[in-house]
Order: sequence, then C-alpha cells, then structure tokens
Amino acid sequence: MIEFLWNNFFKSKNQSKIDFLKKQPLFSSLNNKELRIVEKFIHHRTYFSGEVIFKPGSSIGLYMIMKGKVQITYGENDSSNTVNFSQLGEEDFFGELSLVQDKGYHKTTAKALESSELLGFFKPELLSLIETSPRLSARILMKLSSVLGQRLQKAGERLMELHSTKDQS
Amino acid sequence: MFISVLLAIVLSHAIRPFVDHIEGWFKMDRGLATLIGFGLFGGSAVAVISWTMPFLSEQFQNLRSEIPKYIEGIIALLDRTEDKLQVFIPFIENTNATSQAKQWMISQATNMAQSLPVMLTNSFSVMFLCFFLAFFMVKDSHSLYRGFLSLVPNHVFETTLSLTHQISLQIGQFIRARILEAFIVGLITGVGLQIISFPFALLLGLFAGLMNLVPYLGPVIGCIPAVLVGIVNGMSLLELSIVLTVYVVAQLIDNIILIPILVARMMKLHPVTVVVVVIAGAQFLGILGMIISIPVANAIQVAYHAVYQHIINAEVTR
Repeated sequence: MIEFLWNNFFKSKNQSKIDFLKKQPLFSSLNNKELRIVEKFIHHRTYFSGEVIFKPGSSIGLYMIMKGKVQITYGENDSSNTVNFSQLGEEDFFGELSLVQDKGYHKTTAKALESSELLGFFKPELLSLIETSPRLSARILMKLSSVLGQRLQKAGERLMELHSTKDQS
Repeated sequence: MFISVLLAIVLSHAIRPFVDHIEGWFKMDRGLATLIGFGLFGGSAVAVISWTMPFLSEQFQNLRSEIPKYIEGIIALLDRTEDKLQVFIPFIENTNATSQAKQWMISQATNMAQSLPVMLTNSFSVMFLCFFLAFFMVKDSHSLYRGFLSLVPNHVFETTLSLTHQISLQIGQFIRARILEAFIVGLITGVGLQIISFPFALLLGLFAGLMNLVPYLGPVIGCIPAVLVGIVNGMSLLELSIVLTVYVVAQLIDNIILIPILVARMMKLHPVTVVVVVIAGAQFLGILGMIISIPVANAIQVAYHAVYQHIINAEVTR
C-alpha cells in the first residue's frame, strides 16, 4: 500500500516517458538525471490510423513508437513503385539516419497503421543538446553510431547473400 | 507593457545560452540554473551600476546645473548662423527661427525636469516587469516551446520545428551581437572622451552606445551632443576635431573589427529601409522607438530570410 502511494506521489507523468526512453537503445547508457534533461527535448505526438508521419525528404529526426504500429515504405506513398520495407511495433524506432544526415536524403515514407503515439527526437534539438551537454550527447551519438553500424553490417551481409544466390542461379 | 515585453525578449535571449550551459554542465534543475544565471547577471549589473553611479550622477548634476548655459549657447549659435545666412542669402525673411527654437528648447528642458521623477518610477516598473517576464521566458523556454509545438498539426510539425529553431537561433545571435557591439562602442567612446577630459564623457559614451544600435544614422546622431557641448564651451576647431576623432576611432573599430567578427553573417538593411523604419519607430514610440525599430526590423528580416531559405531548400530537394 505504502509502495503504491509512494509511487503515485513521486512518479510524475514524465516518469513513464523516462522509463520508456531508458529502454531505447539510443538512450540506454544515460542515467535518470540525464534522461530528465533529454526528456525536455522529446516531443510527444499522436497520429490517427492511416496518417502519414513523414514523406521522402522531409524528416529531420528519430521517432520511437510508444503505442501503435507504423509501416515504412520505400518511395512516395501510394504510388505504383512503392516497396514495403517493414512494419514496426511498440518500442521500435525509425528515422535515426535523419539525425545525422543532411535534410532531404532519405527516400522512405512512414505511415501509422493504427492510431499511434510516438516520441520524436529531432536534429535541431540534438544540435542544441551537443552545445549545452556535450558529454551526454557524446554517449547518445556513440549509441547512434553503433545502431547505424549494425544496420550497415546487416545490409552488407544481405548483399552478400543476394550475390551468392545470383551466382548459384 | 509593450516595452517590457520587448526588453524581456532581448534580455532572455542574452541570458538563455548562459543558463543552458549552467544547466548542462552541472546537470542541475532548470529553475535553479535560471536563478543562478539571473543572479549573476543582476549581481554584475548592480556592481557595474554602483561603480559608475557616482560618476554618472555627478555628470547628471553638472548637466542639470549647466543646462541653461547650453541653451543660451545653442541659441547664440543659432543667432549667429541666422545672421550669416541672411548675409549670404538675403532673400530669406527674418523667420524668427531663434525665438521659436528658444521657446521650444526651454519648454523641452522644463518638461524633462518635470517628467524625470515620473520617468524614473515608470522605468523602474518597466525594468521590474521585464526581469520578471525574462526570468520565466528563460526558465520555461523548453516547455513553452513544446507547448506551442504540440498545437501544430502533424503534417507541418517537422517544418515548423526546424523553422522556429533556425529563427530563434539567428535572432538570438543577432541580439547578443548587437548588445555586445553597442557596449564596446559606448565603452570606447566614453573612455576616449574621458582621456581627453571632455565634459560628460560617460553620459556621451552611453548615448553613443545606445545610438549605435541604429545603423547609418546612429553614429551621426551619437556625436551631435558632443559637438554641441564643444561649440558652446567655445572649443577651437582643433579641439573639436580631436573630439570627433574619438567618435571616428570608435566607429572604425566597430566597422573594421567588431562587425566582421560579431555580426558578419547578419543581413544588412538598405539605407532607405533604415530611414523609413526609424521614422515609423519614432512615430510610434518616440526616441525609444527609434532605437528599437531597427533591431525589430532586423529580427523580422532574419525570420523572413529563414522562411525563404527553408522554402528554397525544400524545393531543391524535392
């Protein structure tokens, strides 16, 4: 009972966001105090089912899914040559490349498949965080690089796979 | 109220980076960081004011006691110019410019003497309100900004975010650069005049610094009082040119060293725009309007430029 009261008093509504952020790969190396600083730069957005989150060339940041499902497609939404990339669910994240890339390079479209709640972390705010809290941002960037490295490695492996199947056939 | 809000915006932009760094370095609560930032700023402001106050108030006292002398001097000067003009251009009728000017100046002087206490209490309340507003603008800047962004619809959300970020960054840089520039120019002028032991050096430096916020016209307006004081005190041409040299040196340092370093990326306003904007400012808010109209116009220009750049970039990458 006391535990319950205690939690209610001291767990602000931000706490659930902070708990969520802690589970995210990018922010997993930060402690609670640092997460509270990062939390101020995070935007909470809600999307209805079928709403486009970003179009090719327009995204400037990372999104983390708190609730709902998101579909990532390659190319303009609803045009004939779109390729379904992947379907993402709770605690997944996407758009991390936009945090370091110049604006306008990415070719993917993100769309909410059901009503969803996302947390967004954007490049301008990463840049101000680098200015004001360099140590903290260095750790975020380290994690970001390792995520990007993993993606690159996976892509390389996939390329080799395709190459070998092509050779066989 | 309007002035307080404007000053608060300026003040909050000047102090915010400082508070951001305190918060980041010591990982402390934003409220506490803001309190420390404002405490340090207020403390140094009080220190500077209490250090310069004896000089300033002495010069103010002198000015007050010598105002009749200056009015007489300027009127005598006008008299002489009118006489000379009539010699050169005889068809000018006796316009009575001197007596009109005399009446105007005496009424202005008495007005100033009467309204000074009211002005002081007014400016005190303006300053207090400005500090109060600026404190919360800095402390709650993140939550205010986030609150604003949460109202923005999803399809324009990212555009709005990057745009507002660019605008506030540029306006912040602009405000800090201008404050520093005005401060340095005022300091150079004041110290220079003090060195040649010119009367009212600090007051004139303060005035020159403030006026330096107005481009093109400011430096000229800034040195007029010094020239008048010099003429009335019966200075020779050589002495006057030494006084003017101080102003010229301050302007040279400003234009050759300060502007390239501090405000290099700042966009320039066209001279015609400057004149129009200054007149409009003077119409709305008097002398204060003249000083703040240019920074406001510049801020609008910066915002417009950021929006324009954004649209252009969006078109290019599409």
